[in-house]
Amino acid sequence: MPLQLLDSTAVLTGAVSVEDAEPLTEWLRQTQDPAVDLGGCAHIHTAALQALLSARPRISVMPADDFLLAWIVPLLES
Amino acid sequence: MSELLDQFIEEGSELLTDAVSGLLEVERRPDDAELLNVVFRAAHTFKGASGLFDFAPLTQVVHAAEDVLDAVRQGRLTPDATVVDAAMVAFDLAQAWLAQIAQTGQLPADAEQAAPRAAATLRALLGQPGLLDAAAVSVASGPQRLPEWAADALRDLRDRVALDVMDGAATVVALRYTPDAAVFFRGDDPLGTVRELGATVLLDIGRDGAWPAIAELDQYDCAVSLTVIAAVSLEEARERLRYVSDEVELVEVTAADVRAASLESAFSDAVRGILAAQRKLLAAPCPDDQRDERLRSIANSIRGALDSTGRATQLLDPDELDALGTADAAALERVLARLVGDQPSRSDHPSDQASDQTDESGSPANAGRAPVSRTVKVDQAKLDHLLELVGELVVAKNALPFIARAAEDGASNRLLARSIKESHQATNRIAEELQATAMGMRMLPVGVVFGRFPRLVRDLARRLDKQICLVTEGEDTAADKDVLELLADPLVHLVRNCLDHGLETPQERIAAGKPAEGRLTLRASQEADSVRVDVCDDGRGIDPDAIRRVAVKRGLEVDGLSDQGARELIFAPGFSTAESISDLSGRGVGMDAVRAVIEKLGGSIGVESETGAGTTVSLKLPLSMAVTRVMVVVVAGQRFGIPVEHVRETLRVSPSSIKGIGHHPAIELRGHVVPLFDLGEELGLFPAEPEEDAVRILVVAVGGEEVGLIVERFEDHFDLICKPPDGVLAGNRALSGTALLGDGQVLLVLNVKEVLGHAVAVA
Repeated sequence: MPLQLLDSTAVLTGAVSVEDAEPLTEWLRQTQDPAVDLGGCAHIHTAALQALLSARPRISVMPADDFLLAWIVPLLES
Repeated sequence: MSELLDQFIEEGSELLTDAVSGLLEVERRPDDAELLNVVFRAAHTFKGASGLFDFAPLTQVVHAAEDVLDAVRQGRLTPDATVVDAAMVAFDLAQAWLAQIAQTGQLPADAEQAAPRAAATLRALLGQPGLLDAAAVSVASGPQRLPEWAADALRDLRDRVALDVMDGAATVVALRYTPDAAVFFRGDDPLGTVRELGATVLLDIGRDGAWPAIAELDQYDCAVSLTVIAAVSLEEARERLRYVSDEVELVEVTAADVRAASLESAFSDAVRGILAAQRKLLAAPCPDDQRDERLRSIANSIRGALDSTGRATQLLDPDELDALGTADAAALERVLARLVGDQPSRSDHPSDQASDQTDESGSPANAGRAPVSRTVKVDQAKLDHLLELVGELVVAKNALPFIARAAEDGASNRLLARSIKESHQATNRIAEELQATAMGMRMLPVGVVFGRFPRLVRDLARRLDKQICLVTEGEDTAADKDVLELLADPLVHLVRNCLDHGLETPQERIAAGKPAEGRLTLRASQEADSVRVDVCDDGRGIDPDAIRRVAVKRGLEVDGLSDQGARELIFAPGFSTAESISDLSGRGVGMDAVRAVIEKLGGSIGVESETGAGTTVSLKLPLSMAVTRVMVVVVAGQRFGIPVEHVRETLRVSPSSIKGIGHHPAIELRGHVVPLFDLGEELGLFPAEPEEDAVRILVVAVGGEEVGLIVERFEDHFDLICKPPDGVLAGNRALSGTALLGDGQVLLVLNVKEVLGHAVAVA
């Protein structure tokens, strides 16, 4: 399961696909001060990333994946 | 090749032809919405069909054209000449590729490079970005050559990663990827695509305007754009991105670009000021004895200024570092010019490039050249009729076993002969009808050939600054498909000639009291067994005196030559190479080549002209080449066929009426002298042995001259299916073909002109 939506944290695991974008967006809309756990995340589909870039959640766990760490985290944190 | 692909090539070619002819109309009637729709639909259908195959560049080019047409349809773009030109160039390109696919099953090797350029040209009309042709751009150097977004990205780079990463990589590309809003529905993941490209050196994801709050985000539309610098080769990037190349701008970044970009960001105004001062100093006059001293001091100052940035080694390439060491005036000037000065040479390149492109695309020579189609559309009624005839043939065939049985039962010869004749009559009727029907299926209207001319005339007229109205008549005249295909090239030649030389410029025409717009008429009609095509213009005509002057210069005898005779000299071989003829009279460029082609097809060519009023060139071609009527003659015991169109008459004369005129035998025929040749001798066989009392002579027309051929015997006329000679006979120009006679013998059909070519020239 690439997407686990908890009370205030979304845990993204593996490759987050385009299908996950819709529930993630919905969750981001409804959650106060959301955080994301990217620890086990390998890739984020553009559609999901677009939602993250709009909502700018905190990153509670940094990704282990090099690409995400090098390029996506700075964007989310900027 | 698969049947599906065959069908795509056939239909695609038709769609493209429709689109181009539609576009020509659109230019004339820009307000006709339905017309525009037709063109748009053709492009749209083609694009859709092309998507079934792995021809991404083809789809890309037509897609871009479709977008342009859509913009025109919605009124966002005016269909002026530029727009129509661009769309037609795209369709031509697609047509050419289609021809290549038809031949080899593959796109040409350069399609991957050409497609983005063609698409970019089209999208430029829409003010949209397209994939830039990096190969062309990288000719220039320096920061100006990079699009602004790429230069910006490079400047960003300084803060993010060490430049060393890039110095180590062989090639680096910068790309901006602006996905279509609907990209998620297509299953594309732009980030994934970029990620797969690998070796990312920089990635920035932005969007038009600020990020909306999450509540307002439309998660179904892709609104991001990605700017990427990656350490991969241009080819690799192009290959990886080829399915989204419409949405990507791609440029190659060189080490020099990186240096130049970091220059801009590295230089403080102070450093820039120091360098500028050094440059001034370098240019100032200086006594010789102080020169070396000054150069060294300048070099040191530059060095010091650059060191203060902490990146001297990145800002200068190794040669430039050397130059600082040697303190050579010219080398220093070069370094300073690059660091602070302007380099005028850079800005020259883009314009060169632009003119190159128009040259390439504007060539009407390959305009509308469709792949030669090997399929014919046949009316179903004709096919049904064919099937009916086949049925009758089967019935007729069944009569033969009855006759055989009757023979076995000992029927009388008379009765048998009558049955066989009846059976022959029935079969003969069916065979004749079968033949006519089959030939009819090969007939196409001449309009198929005329169809390419509106485009050619338009393009040429624009290029030559002439106003020309093209009129076509008799498009329905039908002729054999092969004849039409072979007719196309000579016609193109004639039309070009006419536009180039025959028709005057609007100014000249008005001065001569004619309407500014010239008129070019293509007229087809049927004349007995031939199709006649006239190419008429109302231009300046052919001036016979001018021709005579040129003829005299070329050492030809012109005394007593009529005006008409002089005009016909334009068909003479060698006349074509006279530059002055095209300047004076406006004709004669390659006309001998046209005549050669037409005569090879068994046709003829003629010219009529009135000085100042126009010229008409008429071509006459056999309606069909499949069946040839030949006359069979016997020479040296062998039978030969001679096409009836060459035969004027057959004669039997007494040996005494043959006179030697000069050193050559000839006869007098109705007041004309007709030279005689012995056909056996000309063919390298032994000469005919004349009977005591009569010589048989076949009078043939060769190039308008009557010539007598001495033969041993005349035989019948035959309608034959004449096959071109193949195998070892293929190179023999004296043969026009071979045919099978009813008794199973092979008949050699002679090309009279070639057989006698040599002899006639000698006489």
